[in-house]
Amino acid sequence: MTRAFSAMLRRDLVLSLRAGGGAGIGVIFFLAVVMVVPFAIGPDQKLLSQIGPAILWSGALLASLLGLDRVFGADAEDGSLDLLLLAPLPLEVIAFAKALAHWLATGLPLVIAAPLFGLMLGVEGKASLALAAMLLVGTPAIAFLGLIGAALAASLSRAGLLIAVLIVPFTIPVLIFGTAATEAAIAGTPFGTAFKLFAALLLFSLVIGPVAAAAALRIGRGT
Amino acid sequence: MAALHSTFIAAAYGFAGIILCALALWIALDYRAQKKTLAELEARRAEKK
Amino acid sequence: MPKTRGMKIGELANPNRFLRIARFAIPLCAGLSALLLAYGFYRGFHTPAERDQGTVFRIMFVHVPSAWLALGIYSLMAIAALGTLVWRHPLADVAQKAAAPIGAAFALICLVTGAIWGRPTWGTYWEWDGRLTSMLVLFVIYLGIIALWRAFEEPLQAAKAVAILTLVGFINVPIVKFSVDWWSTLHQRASVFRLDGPTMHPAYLSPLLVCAFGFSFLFAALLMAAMRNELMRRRVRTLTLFAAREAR
Repeated sequence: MTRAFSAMLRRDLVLSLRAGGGAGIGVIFFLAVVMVVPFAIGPDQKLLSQIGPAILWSGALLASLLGLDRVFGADAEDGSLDLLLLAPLPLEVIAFAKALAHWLATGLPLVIAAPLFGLMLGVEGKASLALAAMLLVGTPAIAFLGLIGAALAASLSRAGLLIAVLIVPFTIPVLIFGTAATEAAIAGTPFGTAFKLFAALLLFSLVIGPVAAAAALRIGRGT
Repeated sequence: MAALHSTFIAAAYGFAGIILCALALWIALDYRAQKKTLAELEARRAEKK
Repeated sequence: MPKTRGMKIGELANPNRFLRIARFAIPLCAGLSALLLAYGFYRGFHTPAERDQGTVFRIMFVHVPSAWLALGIYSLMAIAALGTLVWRHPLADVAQKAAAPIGAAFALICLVTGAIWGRPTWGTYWEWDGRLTSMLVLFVIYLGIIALWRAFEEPLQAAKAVAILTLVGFINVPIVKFSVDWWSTLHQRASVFRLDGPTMHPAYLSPLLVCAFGFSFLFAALLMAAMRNELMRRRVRTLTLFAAREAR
């Protein structure tokens, strides 16, 4: 089972790194969001450094939702999803592997890029690192919640916007506790109540994401 | 003050009324449209037989 | 194909009975709703003015029942989702689909009347307060459910996908609500459904409850009418597919 899991993970990772613009596309989109904001509000360095963490959080959220339609969409198109449903590996585990691969390919680069973009927005170096650490907890939560939307829309074509609309309301707690934990971390008390609730949300989404996604896939294929 | 308040009250009740009337109207129009299509289809089927 | 055909014939019994009941239940509920709402509004507009707010609190008789219904309809949809997935009741998904726009309408009414009420009492139309924000999120979830219904071609497939989304939402809505409550608060606390009994004055409470029942009957009438439409729409679809197959 471990071998099947890692094979699944490797396959999805390679696919998402090579197809659809490659691994960098999410980070480039993230950069685009960060770049647009100073034009929208003016190059006021003080204001930018104040709202910098908020910009980075919303940019990371939007960039995480970007590739979700590819997670199951490509497999549904070429029929490999039907084979995966017949595989001896439980569908929940397959869904988990897919979400993990999706996060490694799109979420992790965002986390790595965040401190750099933070510096561009005038967020201090230490605060930028704290923000990146919080994104390390928050982006997988978003990816696993997004997995549900990806599975629901697996059989639909051009589902990108639909998935985003379905998933954004459910990511609001992640955003609220994530920004609260970030503020606490920048203030110097990183592991308070907000962080605990934030970590609880991650664990919650790690469970509910694959289970609900597997149920959605089974139903979508009529089994 | 009191006159101002009645404007707010009228606006709230008016908005609720408009939304609920629009909903009811949409359901009623939908009912008529479905009934008409259904009758046409049934008639076409009876014709064939 | 033969399997689904057989299922459809078996399912007909239940929807037919529903249509027979709906025939007289829709006018009955609508009439009851009109009577209750007329009485409730009449009583509500003959209450004494409130100490702090003057008369503007009378928006409450629309605002509060809408909020209760927006939450109640979502719970009903979650039960219907279980009905689709677990008990495979033939009317469950019809009810779920019909209820979504009505729930969205009540959530919208709650938001807008609340905004109008907020202007004279809080001095602002909108505040990013916990309760306001969570109702807004509920409204967006309703819109997402409606969008997902429309995204699928085949009603039964759509029903199951939407059922999963509704159930996930039902687990998530308390989390969303809890998180935004924790985040920021301006709205007053619950004053009717409390463990130690309502704290609201009975002179305001009884017309409020009458209005709430009135709106609930209105919801029942609208729901049954929308369910009847949906059943007809599905019959149209089946007959059209049938005709297309015969023509081939």
